[in-house]
Amino acid sequence: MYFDYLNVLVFAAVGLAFVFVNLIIASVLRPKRKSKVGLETYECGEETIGDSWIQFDIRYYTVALVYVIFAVEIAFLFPWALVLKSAAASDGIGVFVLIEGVLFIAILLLGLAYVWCKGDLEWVLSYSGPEYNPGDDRDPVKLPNIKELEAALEASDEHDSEASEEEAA
Amino acid sequence: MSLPLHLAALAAPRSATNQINDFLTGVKPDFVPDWALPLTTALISVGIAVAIISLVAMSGTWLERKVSGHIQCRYGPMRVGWHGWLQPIADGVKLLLKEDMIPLGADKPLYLLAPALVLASILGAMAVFPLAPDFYFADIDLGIFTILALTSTTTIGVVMAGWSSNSKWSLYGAMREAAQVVAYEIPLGISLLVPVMVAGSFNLLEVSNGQAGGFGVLNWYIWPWVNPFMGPAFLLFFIAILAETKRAPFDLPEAESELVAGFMTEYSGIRWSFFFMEEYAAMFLYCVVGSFFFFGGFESPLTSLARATDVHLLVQVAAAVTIIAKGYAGLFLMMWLRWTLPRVRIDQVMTLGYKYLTPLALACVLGASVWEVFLAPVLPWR
Amino acid sequence: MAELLFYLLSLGAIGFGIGVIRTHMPLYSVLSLLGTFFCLAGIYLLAGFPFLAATQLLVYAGAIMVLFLFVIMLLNLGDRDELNRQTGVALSGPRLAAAGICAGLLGLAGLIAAGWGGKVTPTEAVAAGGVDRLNDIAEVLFGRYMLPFEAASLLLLATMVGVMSLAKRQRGEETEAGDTGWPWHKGVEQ
Repeated sequence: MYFDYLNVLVFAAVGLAFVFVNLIIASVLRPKRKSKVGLETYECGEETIGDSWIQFDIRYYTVALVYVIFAVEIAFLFPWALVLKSAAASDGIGVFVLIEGVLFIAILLLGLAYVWCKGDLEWVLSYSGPEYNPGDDRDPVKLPNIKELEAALEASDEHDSEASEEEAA
Repeated sequence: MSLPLHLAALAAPRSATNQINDFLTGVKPDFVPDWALPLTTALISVGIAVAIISLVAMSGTWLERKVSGHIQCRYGPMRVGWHGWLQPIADGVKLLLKEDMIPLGADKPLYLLAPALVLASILGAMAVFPLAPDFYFADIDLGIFTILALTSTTTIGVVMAGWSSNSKWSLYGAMREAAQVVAYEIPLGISLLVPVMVAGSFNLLEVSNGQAGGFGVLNWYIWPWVNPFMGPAFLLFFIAILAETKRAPFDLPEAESELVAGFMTEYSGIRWSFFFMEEYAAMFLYCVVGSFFFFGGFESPLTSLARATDVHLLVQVAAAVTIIAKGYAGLFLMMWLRWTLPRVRIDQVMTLGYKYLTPLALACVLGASVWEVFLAPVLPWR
Repeated sequence: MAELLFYLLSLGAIGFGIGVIRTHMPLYSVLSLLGTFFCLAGIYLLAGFPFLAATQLLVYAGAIMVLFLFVIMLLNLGDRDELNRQTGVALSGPRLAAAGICAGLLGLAGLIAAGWGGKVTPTEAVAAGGVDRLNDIAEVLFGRYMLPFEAASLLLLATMVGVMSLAKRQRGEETEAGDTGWPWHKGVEQ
């Protein structure tokens, strides 16, 4: 028995080693001309602004918590699924084990239903302020009036041309 | 302090049918100590497994390009070798010759460790995969449970890679990967309960044996006369493995059209190829698991035919060919889907995982268990 | 060889455990915790409980990932000075003494337990039916320990409800405090 598990461990260890052996082989072959520009963070050619180790807003954090609980549930249900068939083969025990499992699943479904009804499975949006109306004062983009702009442009043009005429004279 | 450990048990495989160990026992000179034997066996097995993973990854990349090419009315790679079959080797050489970049902003230890962790866990899971009924690396009763446990650690490696790169793209990729795993690991595990229930075993070899007979086809677990809940369970399983292996339509962690390359944006050259290797190995492994638990494993008309001849070697070869063919059929299906379905949005991913797949999977388990207890014992063909 | 493995794994578990509290980077702590769990799984395996070992990996691999997420969510990891101030327990005389006393008490408890219950040999108890016979575990779990099994589901239910309400409450305070007031943040997809 240990042999078989030992095999799994050896496999995993070789998996670790494989990466580094390959890197060493590659280090002999590959060119080494490191430039600082090449080692910068890739942002599609733009210079990086700031760290990306920020306080990231994870919207699905409630779901992540539910996940851990369900992982434990799976660990419990696997042995149940394993014995169900052999239990069904012997009289009486099958129904008993079935009821046990069904009860277990039902209680957890209740949990899922609770979380669902409470809205914890929804995608959480980070904004919780007042409703956004495009027309109101908080509209961040204030477009300048085009007619005003044109008038200003014309005025400056006239001024420019007058100035150049004066110079010529 | 003495531990209740059986040194003899450690030194010998449980079953005598491990062919590598048998062979080594036969040729072992006297001066070699006994404990060296299982270790050598393990090392030879791992050599074979690494070869399998490499071959799967290489053929997988080629197949992916050919399949996507033909689906889009192109040829795909055609230059290197006949229909470009040597392309993966050319790619491998290119990757080896590429510069090794570790971004200045990266968290170096985590950045270096991430691909190793990913590959180690997938290779550990590969140890459980039997190549033929009498040729396997580790005959573990906990088979599928071990595979689930080990593959769930790969996601830590992926999240680690994404975070340690210190790039916005990578961070988004990592967070999406975590979201997907959180949503799909549960339906994956639960949908596997249905075949486990019918087989009464976690061991892949035993599950395969349980589907023998019926010309190698009729006793597959997927058929409704075995258990009508098996088909829906397989569908749920397949959707979940698509998400687990980050394949389209659940390829949000990579999402090349929006996140550059997602969690592996900052990885380059050979270091990047490890993630690719892991992806194809995981795809193949899950497809093989699916064929063991739903589609008969080693059983096929070919295997039944070989069994009729009563030649041991022939049976082994037929079984190996069967399982590898089934694995590749699964790979092909995944590639086909990639070029057919559009990517889903992240909130849709979570909704699908928790509001549809998980309750449906639990319902499947409930239905299947009732069928197994009340109907399966009285069915004439079971 | 098995003894050697046991001592190696124990050392690893202790080493990683120290790493959890000594490192200054919260994410390194989380990963050290993963290392501790790996070593513990190895010890369970050596003691003849492969199911426990696999469960340890399955459950805690997921839990570690969630911890990872929560570290990223709750801490600003780019601000190194702040982190150095907040995390990492400095070694000091009283703390070392407290750790020593705790370790001593634990050791004493182990010795008493061993002396009281005889030699602790987990494998011998299970080995009658074969150490890795999963069916035996399952039969005990669904026969003799049926009620604890059902109680576990209730416990999980209670955990789910409790965790949700706690998380929501914390979240509520946080968003109110950190309300940006930017209307265009609404509906921004990740």
